[in-house]
This record gives sequence, structure tokens and C-alpha cells, in this order.
Amino acid sequence: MSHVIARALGGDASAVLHGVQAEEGFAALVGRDAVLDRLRELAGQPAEQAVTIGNDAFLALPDAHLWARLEAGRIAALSIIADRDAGDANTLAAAHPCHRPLGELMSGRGQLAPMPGDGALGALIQAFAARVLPALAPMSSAMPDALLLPRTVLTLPDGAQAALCQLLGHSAGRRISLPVSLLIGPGGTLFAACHDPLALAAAPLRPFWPE
Amino acid sequence: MIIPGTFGRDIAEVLADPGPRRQPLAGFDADYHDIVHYILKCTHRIWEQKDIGLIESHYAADCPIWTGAGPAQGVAGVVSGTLRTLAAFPDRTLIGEAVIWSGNDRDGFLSSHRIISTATHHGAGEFGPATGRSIAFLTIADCLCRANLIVEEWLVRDNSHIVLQLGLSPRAVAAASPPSTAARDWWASENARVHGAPALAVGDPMPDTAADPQAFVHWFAGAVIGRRRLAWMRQAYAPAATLAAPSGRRLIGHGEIIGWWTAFLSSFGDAQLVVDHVAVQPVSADPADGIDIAWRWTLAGHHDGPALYGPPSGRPVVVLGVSHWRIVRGVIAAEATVFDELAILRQVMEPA
Repeated sequence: MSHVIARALGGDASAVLHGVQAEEGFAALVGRDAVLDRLRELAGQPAEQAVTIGNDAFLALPDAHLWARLEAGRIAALSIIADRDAGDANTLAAAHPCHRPLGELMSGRGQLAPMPGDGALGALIQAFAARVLPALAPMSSAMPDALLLPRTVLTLPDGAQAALCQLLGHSAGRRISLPVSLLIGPGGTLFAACHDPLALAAAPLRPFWPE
Repeated sequence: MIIPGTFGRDIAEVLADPGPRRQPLAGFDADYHDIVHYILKCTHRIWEQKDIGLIESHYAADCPIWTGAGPAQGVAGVVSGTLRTLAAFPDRTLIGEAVIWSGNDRDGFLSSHRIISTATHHGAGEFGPATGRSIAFLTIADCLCRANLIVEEWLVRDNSHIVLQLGLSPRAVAAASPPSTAARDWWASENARVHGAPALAVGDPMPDTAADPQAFVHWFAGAVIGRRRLAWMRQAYAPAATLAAPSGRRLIGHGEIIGWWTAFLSSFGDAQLVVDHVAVQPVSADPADGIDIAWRWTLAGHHDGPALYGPPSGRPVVVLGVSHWRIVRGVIAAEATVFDELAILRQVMEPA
């Protein structure tokens, strides 16, 4: 049987629970019809990676990474990180007002250095913080205080790691909070980074909700 | 026997569930197989199939309904309120995210039903003329159920998120609908109840969530919130935990979650919080999927900080809230907290 996300990309409604919720950038999609409509736009590309471990599933397309949270083998939640053209940032931003930021990025550390993470992903996150990863420069250059928060990490059959992270930072007085996806080799080499240029460009342009 | 919840179940399968009955349900209609089935099925029938009259056989005639905006009583009010909401949002879908329950058919079931709704604002209603906008919002309905009847309900809805998505100002909407005398009286009595309640006697160490989830709730309410030991949230929440908070806020990680609680508590510096109900259910038959906890709470304090609800008014404020936690590997992986911020604004905008 094909991978559950591949089935969803193929329009198989039985791969997706009726109440599925998806995130793409800072936007949310609620319900199976809305999610399958969006997946239809991404279909037709060959999967480069596909893995399911426990209740987590990951599938990489040439220009999108998809992460699913499964319930009884079906998709209950989905993170879509697609390499969308940033040209329409103003339109996207206008449709999604935001709240003013609450809280800090690095909880409770104050003057102390961030806690070092473990393993290859921890090393990569430190390298990102040190701004020595050219492949991630679009993310760090957009926000001087950007950091990566690991959400889900899967070890692939070849020993590489796939990591769903949250990119957090500030730009233009907004809290930027976007999912990004990384593929990391056993030695900590960054194989691939997938982020959404459209969401990254639109996030600082979002109007604030009225208070 | 574990009563299946919403985990991994499609609504079509829940509605077509042939049974058999999985738990004693004395007095319930024969086509309900367990309390989760009762809640999900009657919600679908009333709201989505538009069988409004079914409310007559599913609510007690004198059922009290408590919302942040004040109390209501009686089945007639439930019928008219449902009709008004459906007139404004005729295509409302009510997706059950969780039904976290406690009790039994003898003493009554307490069901805490979290719903994400999608709807289009096609008609005039409590939020003004139709806007044609499509929205999504969270609701939690805590229902005490006996013999097929809801005999008491505590209903919290993210009204400020609805208002924002309709392009309106929460303050303007709150100002346009001042509180009733019944609401003012209820807020006053709730204020006295909360401030008269003894502080929860809890120790410092975080209880084991799996072994004693009730103790974990009381520790969170009494120590973390009550004594403002917000640093302990880093023990209680997973590093990348999510929090769905009122006004449609979607927060992630310790920094944002502690930040939201800080802003909320700073708005009411003398706030005290009491725990009114706790329910715990396994997420699925697999313990690795974790447990779901529902806890209803009431907070009372004076509006003396500007973080969330405008310049300090000094007014007393009561907040009826319900929080749902998904506990995985001993810590909170996901939280949804729902209360009515329009009701808060109505209280802070009351003339002195």
C-alpha cells in the first residue's frame, strides 16, 4: 500500500480524517475538503522520501515537504511546507491579520546562552543560531533573532534525520512563526531545507487585529 | 472497556456505529451506544441535520446554561438560541475534536466536548448584519447528562475570534451588547465564590501526570497559576507544545505559552482561580497515545493591567474557562483553552 500522504495527494479521501486540520505558513485549513483541495495542487510530483514512524508521517516532494500526524493510520493533522513564489505576499498578508507578539523566544534563559541541543539536529540548530549555514540564510536574514524549535524528528532508513521545526523570530514588530522542514545527514550535514518564501515574505506585512 | 473517543474516527463511522451498547446508559435512547456516541450524534442531528426540535428530548425543561456572558435557563432558550445561530451561520459544521468525559449513568455523565466549527456568516444575528465571511472557531460544551437529558451546561465559545474574523472590533461589539442584570448578579456571586474558596493545598513537585492526573491539574492551578510559579510550565509542557488560546491565538513553545499566561494573569493582578471539574480519558487503547484531560475553571480578579483588555478599569472580572490537555509522555503536548473575551470586555467596560 502506498504511503498515507501519497494517497492523500492522490485524492484518496480515506487517507484523511474528516476533521483534519492543516497548517501552511501562518494559515490554517479545517476539514477534509479544504485540505484535499490544497493537496490536489501539489499532486503529480514524484516523492523523494516517504516514511511513517508511529503516528508521524513525512513525505518530501521536489518543492514541498509534508508532515502528518496520524490517528489510526489516517491523517488528523498536516503541515504543508511548499516552496511558494513570494510574489503575492501582500495579498496573502492582507487576508491573515495577526496578534501582537506575546512572550519571549528563548524561554527562561535570560542572560544565559541557549541550552545546546543533542545530536546532529542540535548541532545544526546551533549552527543556524551562529548564522553559519548559507542554505538557511533566507530564514535568518529575514529576522535577526530567528531560531529553530524542533517539533518532530524522524530517523529515516538511511540514517538521515527529517526534522519538522518551527522558525520563530521577529520582523516589523510581528512575531514570525512558520513551520520549516530539514533533512540532515548522520554527520550533521544539511541535505535539504524546505521553507515557504511566500509565507516568510508575507508574515511581516500582516495587519494587526483591532484591539 | 475503553469507550472510543474521537481519536482516529471519522464522523461518518461514528454516526453509522451499529453498537452494541458499550456502557450502562439507563434512560438514554436505544440508538445511543455510549456517552461519546450520544454527544457526537445528537450534536450532528440538532445542528447539522437541523433537527432543532430534538432539543426537547435532549435538554431538561429547566436546564441551566452557564456562559461567560451570564446564565440562561430552560429548553426554550436553547431552541431559540440554536435557531438564531443557525439563521446567522446556516452551514455551520461542528467537528468534534474531543469528548472527554467522567461519571456514569447513575450519578450523571459530565462530557467536555471540544468543537471546531466552520461556518459562513450568511444571516443577521448576534454579531450584526451578514458579512458573507467564512470563519472557524472553537467551542467547548461541558454537559451534565442524565437519562438522555442535558441537565446542566457550561458553554464557552471563542467569541472574540468570531468577531475578529467577521471584520469587527471586539470592544465595539461588547459595547453594543451590555450585560443583563442576571449576568451582573451571576458575576458578583461567582466573584464571591472564587475569592471565598480556600487556596488549593498543593506541594511544589509536579505530580506524575499518568499516575494522578487530578493531582496534576490541582498542582497546575494551585501552584503554577495560583502561586505564579510560571517557570514550572517548562516542566509541565513539552518544549514544542501548542496552545490554542482565545481570539484564535495559535502559540507554540514555552516562550509563547508562558507569555500568554503572563499577559492574561497580568491583566488581573489579584486573580484567583478555582477548579470546578476535571475529567480524564485515555486517548486510545494504546497508552503511548497518551491521555486527554479536561478541566473547567473560574477565575476572578480586578482588571488592573493593560496587557490584553485595554487600559486598566479596576472593574471586577469573572472568567469561565475550560482547558483541554493532550498529555503525551507525561507532559502537555497540546492545549486548547477557551473562554469568552467579549464577556471580559463587557465587564471591564461596565461603568463604575
